Amino acid sequence: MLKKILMAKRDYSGVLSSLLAIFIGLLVGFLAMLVVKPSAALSGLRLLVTGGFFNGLTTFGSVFFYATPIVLCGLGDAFAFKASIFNIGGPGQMHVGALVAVWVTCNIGLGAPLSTIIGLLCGALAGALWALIPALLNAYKRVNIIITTIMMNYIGMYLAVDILKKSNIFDNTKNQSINVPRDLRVARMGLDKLFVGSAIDCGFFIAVIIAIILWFILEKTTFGYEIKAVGKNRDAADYAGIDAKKTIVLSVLISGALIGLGGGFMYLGWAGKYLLGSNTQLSEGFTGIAVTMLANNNPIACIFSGFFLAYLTQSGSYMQAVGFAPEIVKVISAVVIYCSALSRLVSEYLRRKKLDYLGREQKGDLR
Amino acid sequence: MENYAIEMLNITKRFPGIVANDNITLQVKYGEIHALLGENGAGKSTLMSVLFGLYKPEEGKILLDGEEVKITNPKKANELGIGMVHQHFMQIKNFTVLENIILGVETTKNGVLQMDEARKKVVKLSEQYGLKIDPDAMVRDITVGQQQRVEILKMLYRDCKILIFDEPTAVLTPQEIDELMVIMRNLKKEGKAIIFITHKLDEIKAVSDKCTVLRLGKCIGTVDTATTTTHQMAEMMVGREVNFHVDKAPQKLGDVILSLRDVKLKSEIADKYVLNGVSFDVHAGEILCIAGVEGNGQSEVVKVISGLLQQESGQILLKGKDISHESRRQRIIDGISYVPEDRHKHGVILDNTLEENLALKKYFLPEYQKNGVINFKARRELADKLIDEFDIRSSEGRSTVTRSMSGGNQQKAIVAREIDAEHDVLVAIQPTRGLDVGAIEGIHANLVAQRDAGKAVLLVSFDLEEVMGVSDRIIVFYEGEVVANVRPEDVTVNELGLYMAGSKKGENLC
Repeated sequence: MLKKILMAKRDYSGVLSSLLAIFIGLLVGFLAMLVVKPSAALSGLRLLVTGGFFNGLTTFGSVFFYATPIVLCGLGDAFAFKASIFNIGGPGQMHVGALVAVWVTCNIGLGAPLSTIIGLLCGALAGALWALIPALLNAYKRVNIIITTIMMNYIGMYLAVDILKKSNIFDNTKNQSINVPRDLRVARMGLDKLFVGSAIDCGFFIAVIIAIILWFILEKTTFGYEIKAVGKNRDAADYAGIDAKKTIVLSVLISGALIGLGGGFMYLGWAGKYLLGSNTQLSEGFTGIAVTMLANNNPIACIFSGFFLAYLTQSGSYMQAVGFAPEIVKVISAVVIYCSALSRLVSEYLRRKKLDYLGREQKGDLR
Repeated sequence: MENYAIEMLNITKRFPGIVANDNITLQVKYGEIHALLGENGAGKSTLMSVLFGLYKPEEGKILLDGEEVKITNPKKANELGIGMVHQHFMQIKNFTVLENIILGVETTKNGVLQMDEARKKVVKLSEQYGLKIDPDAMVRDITVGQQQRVEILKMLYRDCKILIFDEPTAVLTPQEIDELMVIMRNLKKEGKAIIFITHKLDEIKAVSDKCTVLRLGKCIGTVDTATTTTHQMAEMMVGREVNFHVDKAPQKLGDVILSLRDVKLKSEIADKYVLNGVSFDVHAGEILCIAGVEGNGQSEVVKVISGLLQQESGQILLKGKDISHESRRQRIIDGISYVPEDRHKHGVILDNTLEENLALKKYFLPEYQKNGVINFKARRELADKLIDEFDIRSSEGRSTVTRSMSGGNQQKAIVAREIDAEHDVLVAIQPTRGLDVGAIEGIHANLVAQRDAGKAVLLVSFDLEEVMGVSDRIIVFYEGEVVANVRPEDVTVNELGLYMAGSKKGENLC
């Protein structure tokens, strides 16, 4: 059976491993619930699976809203991963992007929808700029980008909070950003008629279009070929005359732009999310890593894995209904995310298994 | 009834589509060096993988000291006293020699390392077998030859009785090869059974007692090396008569294509010049060979020409145009083709498909892309053309993942790509390293064909036989300088050796 799937013309090992990770994640989550409150475990599990429809289409529509920023973050991380760059600067890039997007939208005064579009683009630009410094340091000085992006997360957060407090989009009494005027929020294109009362807007569909564009770039263009060449073997890329430094900087800039754009969508939407005046990192920026890992860095798969994780988060918010403390939700989603990271290992195992079936000799394995 | 140390009897291992080992029998005695000879893909690696428990054979059995054993994994093989000296060493660079040797089998007492005991054993072993080594040196500081000794000591430390050497000479200089031969004879004298995998017939002749030849998964036969000539063995290996001599038409010398003028490059580690004022010309229609002991600036000069390294001073001229400060990409477009030294590091992207690798130098040209979108049809056609023309063999044609191909075919792919690219000069460094006789013949023929087509060919080789056989003219590098400029018919191998050792300097150096 396994052999049949692995030997199929198309490579399914990535999908298989992701599904396995999700299954293990849910299983461990269930066990955790059994330990905490055995009597409610079954209904807890049911809620976890069906919670995305807790209030019918209203809830389900909001899943689309919550999926948008993490899908975009996942896409950003996936793009950088293709060049073998681990961009974990998501929270910082997102924070800066969100602040700039909201500020520009509220202040530029061009009316809807132009203000919003320009605001979102500026948010993307800000995210890209925030990624630029680590990108340059890595490409030209080979400074470890994991460390620089983490540091930029803190700098971005403090800076964004500080600027927010001094700006005209800050509501002092609530210690958060102001309500974005309704006509300046992301367009809903009638989707709110279908998903009545939900936070859905057109953001998710823009993310889907971006995913398809990224897939096209990576698979069909010379730029994608160069990014993957640099990611797989930088020396060989140099040898082939590819400008590896430029390629790395560009891929990280695009990564930062996507994450910044995700921040814009999150705070220009209809869910009543506000930039806070307290020093808090935007955890959605990290969720992007889980999204891309679960998707094996495939942009199209990022849509599904991002949607899945958003669905889980949404279900999770209703878990208190059956008597689980809010924290159990975090445990469950953490396990799923953890397993999604492990799915890398599983897919590597499956790949080797496939090579075994093909009977290929790998000299390096002779030990 | 003879007492064999290890017997692999009638081993058959099938993979979907191919029989990798077809009824192969290999018997090795203690105190014997048994060579295993075969082209890339003949089934040597599979056979050794079976011996190591990595593959389970469909038929046949393995006897150790006359008793049947089931080897299920490499750890079991080690426990049974079977050890392997790999081509690519498994060592931790910033551990000492001693630490590397005991890694995994440390002697401890209440959780505390007992290094003194280990040191005694290592010193004793190295004296017993003539393996000179400083146990406290860092592995990153010692030469490749010494690293190999560490590998051998590792096996001895684990009390291995059966040692497998997987192409051990591929990475060594001529002097180091001689030293290795002495070590192998010592091991033999001490009663070890040795399986020696190699392509190099001279070495088989020099050191081994028996030789088993594989071809296309079949056992062609086992011969006594003392009574068999290298020609006979080569014929057994490739199944036809082998041409050691490179056939060349008379030379038609053209204009100067590539010139170096007083090129200097500082060493990255030491305060000296690795290239100390190098000047030479390469003409159209000639194969210029750079000879010399490895590490005298050959790698660097090639990198400077191709644009991977930037020289400190001096000029590089291509058809009279100064390209000293041009980018790597521009030099490719200008017409410099380059077969790199390390095919895994520079030559190919192992996880890409053969097609993607064959397009590495051309993907940006207008025929292969339009506004940045790849023209897959043209790329496929290019790949199929080169695969066909250069006889590149792989399991799934152009969509084969390059990592799964044999070294010889990876090299063929690189040579194919470089020859196919528009070029005036072909630079090749060690293009035949680690390849079997058949593949070497093919690559030599390619080089000569390039010369006959009026291209300039610059060949760097550490193999004197190759230097003498292929070149039209030879320059010798010593300590980053050109110390000789001769024609192969005017010089003997011994003389070249003197130049290479720096004890003689020639005239007309430029």
